[in-house]
Amino acid sequence: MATAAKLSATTISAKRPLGITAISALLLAAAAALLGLTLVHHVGGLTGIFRLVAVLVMVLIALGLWKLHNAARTFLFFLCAADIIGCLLALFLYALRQKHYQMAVFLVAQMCISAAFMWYLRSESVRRAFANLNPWPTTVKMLVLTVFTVLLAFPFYWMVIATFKQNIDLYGMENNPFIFNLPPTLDNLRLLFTQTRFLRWLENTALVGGIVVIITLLLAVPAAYALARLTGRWGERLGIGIFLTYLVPPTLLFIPLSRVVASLGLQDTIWSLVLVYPSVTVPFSIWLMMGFFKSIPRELEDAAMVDGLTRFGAFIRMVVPISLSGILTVVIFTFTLVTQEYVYALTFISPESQQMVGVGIPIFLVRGDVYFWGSLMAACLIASLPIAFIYNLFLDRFIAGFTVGAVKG
Amino acid sequence: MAVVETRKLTKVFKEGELGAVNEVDLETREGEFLVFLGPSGSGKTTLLRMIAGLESPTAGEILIGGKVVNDLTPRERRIAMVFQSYALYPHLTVYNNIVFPLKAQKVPKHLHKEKVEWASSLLGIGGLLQRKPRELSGGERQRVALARAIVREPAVFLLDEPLSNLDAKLRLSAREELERFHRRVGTTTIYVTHDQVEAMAMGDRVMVLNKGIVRQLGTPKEVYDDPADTFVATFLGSPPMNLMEMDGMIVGFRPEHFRVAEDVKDSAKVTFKFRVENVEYLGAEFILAGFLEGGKMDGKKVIARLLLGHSFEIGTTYDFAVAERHLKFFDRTTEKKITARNMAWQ
Amino acid sequence: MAVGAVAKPGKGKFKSAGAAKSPLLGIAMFSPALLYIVLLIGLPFLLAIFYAFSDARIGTEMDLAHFWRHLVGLDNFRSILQSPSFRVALKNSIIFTVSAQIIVMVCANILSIALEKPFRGRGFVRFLILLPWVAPVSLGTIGWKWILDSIYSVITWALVVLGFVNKYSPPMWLGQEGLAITSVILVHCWRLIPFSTVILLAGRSAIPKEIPEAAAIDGAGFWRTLFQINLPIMTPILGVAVLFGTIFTFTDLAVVNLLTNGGPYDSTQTLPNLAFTQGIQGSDLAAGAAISVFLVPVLVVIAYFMLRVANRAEVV
Repeated sequence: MATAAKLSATTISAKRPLGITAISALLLAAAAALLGLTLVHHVGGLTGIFRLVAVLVMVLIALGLWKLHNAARTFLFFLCAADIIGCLLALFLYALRQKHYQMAVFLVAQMCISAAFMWYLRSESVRRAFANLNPWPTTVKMLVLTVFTVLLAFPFYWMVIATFKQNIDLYGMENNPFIFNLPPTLDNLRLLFTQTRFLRWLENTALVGGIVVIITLLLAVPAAYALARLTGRWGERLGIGIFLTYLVPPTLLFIPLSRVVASLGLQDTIWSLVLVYPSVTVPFSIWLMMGFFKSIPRELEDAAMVDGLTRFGAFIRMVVPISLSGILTVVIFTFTLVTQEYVYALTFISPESQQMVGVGIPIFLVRGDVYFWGSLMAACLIASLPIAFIYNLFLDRFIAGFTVGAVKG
Repeated sequence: MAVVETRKLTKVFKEGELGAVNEVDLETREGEFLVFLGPSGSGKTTLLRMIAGLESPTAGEILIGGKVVNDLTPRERRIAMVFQSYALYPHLTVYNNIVFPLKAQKVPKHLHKEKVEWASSLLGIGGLLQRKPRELSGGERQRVALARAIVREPAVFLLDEPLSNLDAKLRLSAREELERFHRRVGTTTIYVTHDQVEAMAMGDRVMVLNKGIVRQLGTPKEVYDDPADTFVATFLGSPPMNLMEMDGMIVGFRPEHFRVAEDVKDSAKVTFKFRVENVEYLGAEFILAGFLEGGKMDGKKVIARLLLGHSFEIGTTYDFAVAERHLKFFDRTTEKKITARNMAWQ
Repeated sequence: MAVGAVAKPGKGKFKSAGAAKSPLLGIAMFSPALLYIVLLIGLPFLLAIFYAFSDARIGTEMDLAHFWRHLVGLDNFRSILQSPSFRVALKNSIIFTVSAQIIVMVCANILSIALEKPFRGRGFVRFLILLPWVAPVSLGTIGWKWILDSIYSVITWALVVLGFVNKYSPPMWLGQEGLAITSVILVHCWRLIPFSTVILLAGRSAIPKEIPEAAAIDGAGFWRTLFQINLPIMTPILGVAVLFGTIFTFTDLAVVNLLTNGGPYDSTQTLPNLAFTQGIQGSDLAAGAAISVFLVPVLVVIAYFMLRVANRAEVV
């Protein structure tokens, strides 16, 4: 950063507003009280740790406000916002439903106090005192990311632990679900691989996925090209029409399709899915590739045709290689749609050996009321992580493909 | 109106490499039109963006109106900027584009209308106020961008190659409009371009940059007639100055000063034998390319630029001359200008 | 363009490109997909409507040659409209979808702003954030089933430790009406946020860099730039994200089926789940079809609005 002298361009008052001093003092007092209570009552274990962390946070915010660090102000602001949201949720989903009116009043009061804090923190004098700097200091951004990442990913962390946990450990109410209270075991995995058809399901899913990807590409790519290039005005309307068929959901078609599949004799085989899945993947793929093809300048194909290729030849030799990014997007999206699919697989296939992984696991790892959690979680992880890994590798390409197809298309 | 000053301003993007901008010192004059001229990659846009507050400097100071503004956000610097692409808000009408800065600066509502009308009449776009940017032509978009900039009555205007997106014909009229606009409004303006014709035509002073270093800062006359180094000498002027090495120095003269010997009236002149290899007839003038013959300069390629009045044949050798006062000398290693010497040409 | 003169004669029925539009080739390239769509989407759709007006059952053969004999008029519709389950299912489908979309849009916007600029470890963070979307829907939901279990819930454990909840009366996340509804909505959000974030990231990156810079110079702060400049420009992308999110939530079967199967006492019942329960498990194809037919009008309305939004917004 600049080694320049500090600025005094605008008359920023380095004075601390009275309210800020008050809040700071209040927080320090509350922190001290909590600390005292915790120590006096010898609150131990995790509750104790949590309380100490809360004390630390309060002290940090108080100091930050005292020293006029914008991060502290923003943090407090968002804490109040979170408090209000939490109170609202608790109010409507718990207190009012259970008719705990006293609790409801308390929640409303809490919300008002938080709102007052928020309003005060945003007021002109306070902003000026905090130099009105960037309201998104890196700290806030990191906080947001941490919160969201934890919320979104903690189930998977738990799944990893649960995979290796002994059942007794899992079912202990007092046991911390996030660590191993008893030594880890491979029993769940053993059960998964030996006593269920898990591997067979993975094979089925991979096979169906691969074939459906090929079918989708064969159907969607030429169709998208035709719509984008060759059919002129009709192309627009047909394109939108195709997109609208995507809106006809499997949960509407599964009933008639179950009859169609049965009458074709494909009931209970993976071929029923091979037949039906493209109906889910093709419309979207056409829409995506259409946008992609439209963004390729026609001069490229014209140049190829001047060089002697037919239009179709130009398509195969020129356009397709250039659109690899979009095609990759389609492949990934299609494959994920296949692995995710639930309705059709559930409806068309009953026998265990023919099932997909997405349906096999919930159905066959739950015997009656007994859930084999350890094995269930192991299966979830094995089915999800590789796909997630690949998805992440191609995410930039995917975003690029989606942008071209969706935004500019 | 304010003076923009930078002191040893530096911007390094990658550790260990030469910076995009290296220790640039400059000081504008009140109300002047200053041009940053240089090829792409010379750091001129980076310099402009640092003044605007869009990039933070690695070292050095920026002052506007005498105050150090390094830590101020763009909004607080009271500058206005017109981008190369104009950056008009595509979803807002022209009126809303122009009124946006007023809203953002919390100017009282009742003043909005009159300010917008003032700015738009200044630029002659009063009839376009309800259109959207995508309905406007390139020239109209430039005027809207200028209106949006002027409505805030800023202290400094920053313009980042605003003419480069226009086609050649439009560029000329747009350039005139900008000059007229500057004369009317008189705000200190910094203008970035790679086009040396624009720089010479529009600038009160020109700052020539290359590789993040200021090569020369002066009036158009100074940078053209008295270039500080070979880079400035060859960057300004089209066709570029003829340069050749001789006696451990670099000597140069401009194509328009390389004329038929009998037309050079100066007594102190140097004559050459010039074999013409290519003749371009441009209607108002000739561009001749060829080689010098004989003496120390034998075989050197030279370009001449002449008004009509003679005829030339390819392959023929003519007597050409340069007046000694038009010769420029540069140090061979530093490439900077050195005082004129007496040379032994033969 | 002297294209036609130079191009080689076409292969088979593919015309060599004399005109810029070669209708024959176009039709040839388009027809396989069209055929497939007609056969596997169009026809079943009509069949579904037919079922809705018929007395179809699993196990009884339908005499399609004399299909009119099976028609029962509006009987199916009458009976489902009277059933309280159906009314709850319809209401829930809409409420779940709207609430989930609101939460997802806010969160996805925040996340996409935070992820916009590169930083160390961004790839890893993106990987973690993507997991809920990429994991097969049924598997993620099963995981949540434990996390929200009445007794062993991970969340309850954490709340007990933090002192918010009495461990002898833990909340029945999936067993109490209000909580069950919240849980279903939250699991939907959990799944959708990664997807919407990715789409919004794409949309953000499409905004030319100079426009927020111009806004900064014009004096706009963070919030003004966000709400008056960035979001309006992103409207088509926002529309796409909301559209897809709505479809995924509205037509979802897996989450509701596996998490609560409509319980407790039908409070989390949705149209797709009801259709499945009555149509396949209850063997009453006609009722199932009639219920799922109600999905269509809502989807059409949503699609219409989204497409209008997408077309109206400008990107210069």
